[in-house]
Amino acid sequence: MGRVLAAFGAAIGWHLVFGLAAPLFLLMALGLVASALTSRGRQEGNAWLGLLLLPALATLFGVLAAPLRALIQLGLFAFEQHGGVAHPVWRAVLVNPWIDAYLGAAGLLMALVALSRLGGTWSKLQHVANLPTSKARSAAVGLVEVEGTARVAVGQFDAAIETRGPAYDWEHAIPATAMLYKGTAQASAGMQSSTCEFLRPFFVEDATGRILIDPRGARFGSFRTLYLFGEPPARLALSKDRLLDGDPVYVMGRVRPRSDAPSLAADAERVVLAAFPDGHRSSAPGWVGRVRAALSKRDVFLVSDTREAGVHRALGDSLLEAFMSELILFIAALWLCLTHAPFLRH
Amino acid sequence: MTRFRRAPYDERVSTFEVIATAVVVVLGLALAAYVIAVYNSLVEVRNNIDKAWKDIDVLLQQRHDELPNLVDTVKGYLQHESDLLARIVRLRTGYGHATSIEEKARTENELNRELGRLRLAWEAYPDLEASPLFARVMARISALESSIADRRELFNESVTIYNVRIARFPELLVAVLFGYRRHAFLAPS
Repeated sequence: MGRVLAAFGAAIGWHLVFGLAAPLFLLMALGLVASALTSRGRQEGNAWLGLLLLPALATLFGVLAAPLRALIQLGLFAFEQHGGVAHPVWRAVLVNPWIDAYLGAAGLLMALVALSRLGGTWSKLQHVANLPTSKARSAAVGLVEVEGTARVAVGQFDAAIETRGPAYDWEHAIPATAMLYKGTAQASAGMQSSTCEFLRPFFVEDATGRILIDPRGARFGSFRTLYLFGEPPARLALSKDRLLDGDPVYVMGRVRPRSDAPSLAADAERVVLAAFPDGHRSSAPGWVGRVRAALSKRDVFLVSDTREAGVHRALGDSLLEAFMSELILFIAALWLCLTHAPFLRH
Repeated sequence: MTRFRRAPYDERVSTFEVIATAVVVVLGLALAAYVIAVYNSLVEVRNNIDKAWKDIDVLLQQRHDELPNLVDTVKGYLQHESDLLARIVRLRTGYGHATSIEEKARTENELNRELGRLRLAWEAYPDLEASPLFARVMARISALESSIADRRELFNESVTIYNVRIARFPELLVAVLFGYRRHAFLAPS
């Protein structure tokens, strides 16, 4: 019950923040219109093309503003009993059935899409609960989970270390024992770097042996589910900004045969637990890559520095919070639609 | 002549009716989604058992292939244990004929018990343990036992997860509805 209440409180908090942030999209839309109206010469074409973004901005505004708008409307019900909103400008904004119907429709559509996207997190949660923990030495090809200690893998795929963010001399900022690293603002070799991501293959070692993990292509993220786009398929969820040699680690993903394994290799030496098959990593950078990765149906891959029970609890909380958040959006949007639908008897 | 006019009938529905219908539909969909999710989850844990068994079955077959060599090596010393040796050979053959995982697991557990008895029997013969042929066979079997132990742990964990899931409420209702039953564990050798 406590978890449900906490998730409900967090969801309410998020919607208040979203509602307050929603006018930013309106300002952006107004900026685009102003730019189109005032543009001259060669820039005129680009400015008018920018107007194509207006529907997307308006929809985002509707999605973010719907729950707060519903809350305001509920308050107005009580207020209307005592004379209501008299000023015509405020009436046009606050007591406007067209705005409510629009916000309700946009919110309803997005709530249904977002609820359907929760399946990814639910599926991952089920995998964590249902999969038995494999021993590193005998992990079979297919979906597995392993637990143990992270160990630096020297000489494994070293030619293909992935870094993202601004190019800088990461060797001075990232400890030699780091496998996963999410940098923030750092001073390195006399220059200030902003952010970077660093992914290097590593071993998970348990009492029976070790298995190679290839996290390249995965994305850093907390256990909090992305509100609109659902669970990213390949994720690195760390309680701190790095995973160092000797840290406890939990990995779930697909074990694949290694194409570069020596012919005499045995057991776990012949396989790798990889986020993506070779050559099939997300190539699109930035938001486009994130959205594309989230929307595509790829293999499950999860690395965490908590134990299995902690991963299960965190994913469960994340799912509950996202569900509450989307349920609030759904109810608020439905209510906004219904209060102004012409076929209803109020 | 009095003309009767029908009272105007309001064909519109009330907000309450729409919300009540929406709530009933949403609850119905949520219940159906839950049953489907539980069923799919049970299918997944059941498949995990099958997958874990396939991984261990390869090694068990390899160990069974060594059993005739073991029996041939020890039968000269253990002539008074001919019944035990015959039972081991019979169980090995029975394992090959078993069709379900349950049946194979039960046969394997029985075979392990008989091999335990055989182990106790040959410990009384230091000459046998010193034999190079016996040492070679036992080295191969021991190497396989070590790998089997890892995979047996995985198999038994899969079985534990499955048995807990089908015994837990409310999954129990779906498990009974679709005929899921408890699965046998694989005992250590």
